Amino acid sequence: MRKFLVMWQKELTGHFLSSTAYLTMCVFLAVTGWTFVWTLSKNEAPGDPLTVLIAISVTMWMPIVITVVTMGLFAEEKRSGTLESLLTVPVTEWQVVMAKYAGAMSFVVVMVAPTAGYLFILPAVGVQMPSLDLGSLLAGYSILALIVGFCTAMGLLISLLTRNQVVSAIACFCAVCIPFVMGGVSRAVPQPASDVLAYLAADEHLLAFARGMVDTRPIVLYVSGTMLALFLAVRVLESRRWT
Amino acid sequence: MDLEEPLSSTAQSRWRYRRRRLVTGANVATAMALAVVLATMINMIGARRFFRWDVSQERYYAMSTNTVQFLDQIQGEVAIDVVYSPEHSSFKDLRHLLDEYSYAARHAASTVDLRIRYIDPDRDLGRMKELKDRFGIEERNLLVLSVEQRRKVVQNSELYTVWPLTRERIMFHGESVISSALLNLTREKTPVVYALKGHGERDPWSFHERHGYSKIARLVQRDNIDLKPLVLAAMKGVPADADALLIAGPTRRYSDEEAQLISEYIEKNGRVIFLLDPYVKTGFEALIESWGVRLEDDLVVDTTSLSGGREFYVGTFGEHPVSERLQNTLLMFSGPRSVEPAASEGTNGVQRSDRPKITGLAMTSKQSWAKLNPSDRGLGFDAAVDRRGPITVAAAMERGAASGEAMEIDTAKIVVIGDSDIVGNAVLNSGAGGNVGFFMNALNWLLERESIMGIQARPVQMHALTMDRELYKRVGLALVVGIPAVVAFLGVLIWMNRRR
Repeated sequence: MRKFLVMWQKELTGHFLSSTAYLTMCVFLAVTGWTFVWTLSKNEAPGDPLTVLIAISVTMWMPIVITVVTMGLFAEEKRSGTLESLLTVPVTEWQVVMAKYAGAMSFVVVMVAPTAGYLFILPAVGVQMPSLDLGSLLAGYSILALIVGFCTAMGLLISLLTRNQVVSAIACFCAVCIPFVMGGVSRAVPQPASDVLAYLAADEHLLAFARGMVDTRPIVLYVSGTMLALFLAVRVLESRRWT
Repeated sequence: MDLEEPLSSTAQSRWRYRRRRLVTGANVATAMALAVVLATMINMIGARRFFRWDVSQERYYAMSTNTVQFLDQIQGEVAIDVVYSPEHSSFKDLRHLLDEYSYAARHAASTVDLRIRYIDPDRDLGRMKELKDRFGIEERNLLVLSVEQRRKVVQNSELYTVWPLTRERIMFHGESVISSALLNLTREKTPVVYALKGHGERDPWSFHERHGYSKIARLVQRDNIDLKPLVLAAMKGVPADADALLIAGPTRRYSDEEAQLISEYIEKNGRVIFLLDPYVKTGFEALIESWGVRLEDDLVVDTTSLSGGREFYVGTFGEHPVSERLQNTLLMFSGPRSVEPAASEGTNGVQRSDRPKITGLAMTSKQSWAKLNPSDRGLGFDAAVDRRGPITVAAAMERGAASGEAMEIDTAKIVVIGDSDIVGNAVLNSGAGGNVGFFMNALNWLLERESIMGIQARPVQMHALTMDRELYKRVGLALVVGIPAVVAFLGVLIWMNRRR
């Protein structure tokens, strides 16, 4: 555990002490804020709840954010050759993968967390608002954390499969986009195919939770998906010892 | 020989190394495949056995206890076809509500198998054809609920109460409408309504643009009602399987014997809907008067008439199950006759303890009058003989109902509407107001098609914020500039700290 904590700390330091990280955060928060204001202006009566508008605003930029954060996790280490030296130190593959994953997740969570402040900033600047729906807010951010966790694990696995950051970025972006466009695709195809696609639709899950509808199916999907991606990442890393 | 031995040893070790790689690779691949299979299985189980909770403050789509209890009682396969485009303004409400139905049915104590199909009329042409072949339904924006061969259609207009002028939705009736439709489908046999013929009545099988009744007949049949023709004189009576009679716009008088047959049918707790036009002696005047409603030989004129003709809208309704959902709706009448409840409620009930209960269903405005003998003096108001509005143009009568009970048992019911054009093809083609809803409500009331009591309509949720340009500027400044600026400031602080 101590080794994991040390490596996690190293990852966090890598993220939070770099100017690129703060630039990424600033750009993400600016574009998300702009998207939120835009959706507010388009939210004609009767309209969607504010928690849903926040979910839409964050979701729109999530594939890019996850791609930026995960594309270099292993690809950069492999390109520079530091992965081999990392594997020679007495740490297990699980510890390496989990430390990288926890570092990336922590960074994305810190980046997204300020968007919850929108609901408190609006009344502060004089907007007349209905009472705060804490249940929907918590449900929305909980599923967002699970989706981010799943997408980050996918990005990490893809980063492990290539040594080229550009290839990693393109592959990661495509993979992360798939769950976010599945809702639209599911509406365009007839049942029962639409039911299967809707089961995988991250955008639909996010909107449902943001309305306050907590469902165990997306929780099972993202937890199992995250564990699968991390398990595969460990196996891929492990197989490098034998090549 | 000495040289060959080390070579052989190298090849052997290379072979051992390759075998080890192969075994390891196969091991890793097997573990990965097993992990994928395990994750798939977990998700398949998770998709079948799941739980949902509504943690929102308003619990807007949460099922009422009445619906949950009802779903606990029904059995067998129930199908709901949602014929809506996903872009339709009602789709979201319906999807969320039907998700709740699906979940409640899945966890119901009974063995109900609720199957919900979403049919996009623009894309899912195969299923639209299936609907047409099976139920004769080609329209969009409706729900088709079916149990075996019985079906019931819920129109989009039934789901919401809207302000007539702005068309703004104010109440959502989704749960009460769907639950009531399910209740009727699962509990009732297909009711039989006989449409009387032989006296110039409106013909439900006629497609005539002006006089035909084909449009309303199709809607009636679509609502799981069996509509059959009946020539009373030929049958010598009302068939035993008749649940109600439809007498729509006779132009010739019924004989006394025929009127007597109808009267006897009503006496045996029969149900009749009369649509009677002005200036026509139908032979039912005495019968209807005996139930407490006076049929004058008049024509109702309203100064709010459309384009100076005889058509006008009626927007005042009495308190009655037929008209309770029609508030904020307008009915179009085309020169009706008055159907005025008499001061004393019916000679029929004078000697009886169960006097008929009479309710005026639709009343004209104060700017209207009932014109007696219009041919003599034109249509203008004559204070000497004409009667000032409001004038009742539709009434409901019921005898034998025990007040205060939710369900009526063995009661005789009559609805009289002073205009047969109200659901004629011409009026329905014009898309006029709530005429169809009014007629269907009347028929459903006569047939005692129950509605589940106690399911409240929900006020349409208003989430849109009212903000002026200045407020948008402030919000934009706070969110697009303020929050990123705080993060940038933190970044600069850390950067400066590191430099030191």
